[in-house]
Amino acid sequence: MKVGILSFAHVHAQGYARCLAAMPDIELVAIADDDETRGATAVAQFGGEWYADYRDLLAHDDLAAVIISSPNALHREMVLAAAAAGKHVLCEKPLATTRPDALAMIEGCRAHGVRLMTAFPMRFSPPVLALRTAVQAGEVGTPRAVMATNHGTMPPGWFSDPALAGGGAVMDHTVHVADLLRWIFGCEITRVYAEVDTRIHPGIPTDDVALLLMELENGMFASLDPSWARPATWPTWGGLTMDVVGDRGVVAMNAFNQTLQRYDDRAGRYSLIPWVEGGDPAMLRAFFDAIEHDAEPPITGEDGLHAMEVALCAYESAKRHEPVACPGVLAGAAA
Amino acid sequence: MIQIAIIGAGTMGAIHAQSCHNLPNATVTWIADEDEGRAATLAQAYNARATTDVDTALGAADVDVVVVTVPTPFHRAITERAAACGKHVFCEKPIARTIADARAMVAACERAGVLLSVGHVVRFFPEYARIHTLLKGDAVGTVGVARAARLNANPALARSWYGNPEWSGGVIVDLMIHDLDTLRWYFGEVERVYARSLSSTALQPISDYALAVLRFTNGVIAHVEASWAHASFRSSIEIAGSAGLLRHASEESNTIRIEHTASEEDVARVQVPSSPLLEGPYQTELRHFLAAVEAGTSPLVTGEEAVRSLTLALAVLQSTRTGRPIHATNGVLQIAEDAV
Repeated sequence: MKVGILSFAHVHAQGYARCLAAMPDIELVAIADDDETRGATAVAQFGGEWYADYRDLLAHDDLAAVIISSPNALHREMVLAAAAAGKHVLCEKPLATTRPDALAMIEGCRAHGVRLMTAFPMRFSPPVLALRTAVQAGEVGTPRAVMATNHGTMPPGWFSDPALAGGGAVMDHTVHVADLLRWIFGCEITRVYAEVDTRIHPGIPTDDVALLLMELENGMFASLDPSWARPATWPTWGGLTMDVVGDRGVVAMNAFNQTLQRYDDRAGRYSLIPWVEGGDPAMLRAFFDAIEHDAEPPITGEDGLHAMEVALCAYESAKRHEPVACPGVLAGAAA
Repeated sequence: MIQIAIIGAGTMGAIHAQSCHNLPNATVTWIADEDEGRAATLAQAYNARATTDVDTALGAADVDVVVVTVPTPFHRAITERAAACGKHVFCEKPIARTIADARAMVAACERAGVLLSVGHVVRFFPEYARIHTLLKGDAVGTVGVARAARLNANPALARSWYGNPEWSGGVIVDLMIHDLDTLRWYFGEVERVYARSLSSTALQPISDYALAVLRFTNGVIAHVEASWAHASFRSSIEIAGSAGLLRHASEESNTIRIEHTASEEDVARVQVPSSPLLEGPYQTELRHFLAAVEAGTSPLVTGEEAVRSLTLALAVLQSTRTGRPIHATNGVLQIAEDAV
């Protein structure tokens, strides 16, 4: 199968391209990036042909699928163009930055008969899978509450430009845990309360600290800290943890704890080096399998929409200083 | 020599008796407990007199300071009677179960001209005290987000009154109040609180668990976790700011771990790791209070401070019950006393 990557603007594109190179049946034939340096670097590293304009890449007849990893707010036009060109789409998270954008993307892919998958690699992370297995096996009894963190250092460039990113830390880091909550517990997030602010990186035009307290349809509650609160000297990019409290115990999961410690005198730095792959390879495999078997991908555009709505509700709650009901659930219930 | 009466010979009574015994300027003269055997056992260990009649101990001429370590709802009555006898009072946390009781205790001690302090001992744990010093020295720049956690097994398994929310206030008023008080010490008063807990939503009796989101008047946001759903004790704190981050986790600071070669009997035994200190925080706390008594100065944790921390805990509790955030007006969290 021949595939293309639309934009290396998101840092995850590098990881996806590395995974593709390790897949014997997948060929990365084209990379589009309006930044010539970034495009040329990617092509030099991973092969394929560089296009300045993604629309020229989409004109490739033999391309079956594309991975879109442009800045969040540009997902809509690229996904719609890819769908119109008949390419299946794996879209980076968050799926979009507004509800109309996400709905248009879902509808556009449906109308053109192409598959749309939202890139939530944490669903394929072995520690997350072990957590889900433990919870579903009743290891802690009936699950009642979750405490989650998805911390990070401050990401570079457009991530802190609200026009391109649709928000800051909340938009960037809420969607992973929101998706995992929906997936592990099999129900929607119904209400969100949040405190959101810019305090760690004064002067950036978006939020960098936040705390969310959410309610799920099944009566559980879950807190999330999505802050970009890790200092530059932190030994790794950040992490994702989930503690699930049940009526018979607690299971604590640290998704990025499989690391070794490196003390580097030459760099003047202590760092944690992961010794596992993470969820990317299995996520990409699931996307290609869905295309080959003409099946619905395991993570849909609707999944991306619901996770994004939790982030939007957090922003709304922080403005109003009260819990906000998730509109997606209401719309779903009405339908 | 400061002469001390311990009222309540339970876990905390025994800890404070040991501290008084260790301190060079203090001696335990009386132990009172409704359980005659328990009072006698503790009294014997420190060569003190035992009684089942609280007023005998409170009114004794050889008592300067009363340490109150009875279940929370009885703090008020004993404190008021101790103050009326002209004794200084050191009361375990929380100061009381209700704001009305807490205010009455503060007023009684003021009226009698005696000192009142409350055992918010985390301020005397060296790691938490060091964080306070570091924050005052601008160690992390502008603080953005703080996280505090305190997890333990359910104390109701050992002492049933903890399991009665009307008495103990549950995990929020009894346990989370430690971190609420410490965060107030670090960051000042709270503007807004929203919280959820299991005790208010569970369909069957289960261990207490609560999560709270705080917004301080100075802008800091904080996440507080308190649990009686875990198997053993641990606490942690993390403070992220514009210039760095401070973090402590008790599990990562253990300096001594004793393991016995496994045998069938040993497998069931709970191992308690520890971080030994020259002086334990409970003793530091009492030494500090006794120094205030001798010097006639104000202790770090005044009755008023304890009232504010109790108010915050009750605001957290009320939010879990109403599902609504609790807001402050003119710096005071607006709680409905009858709702909590």
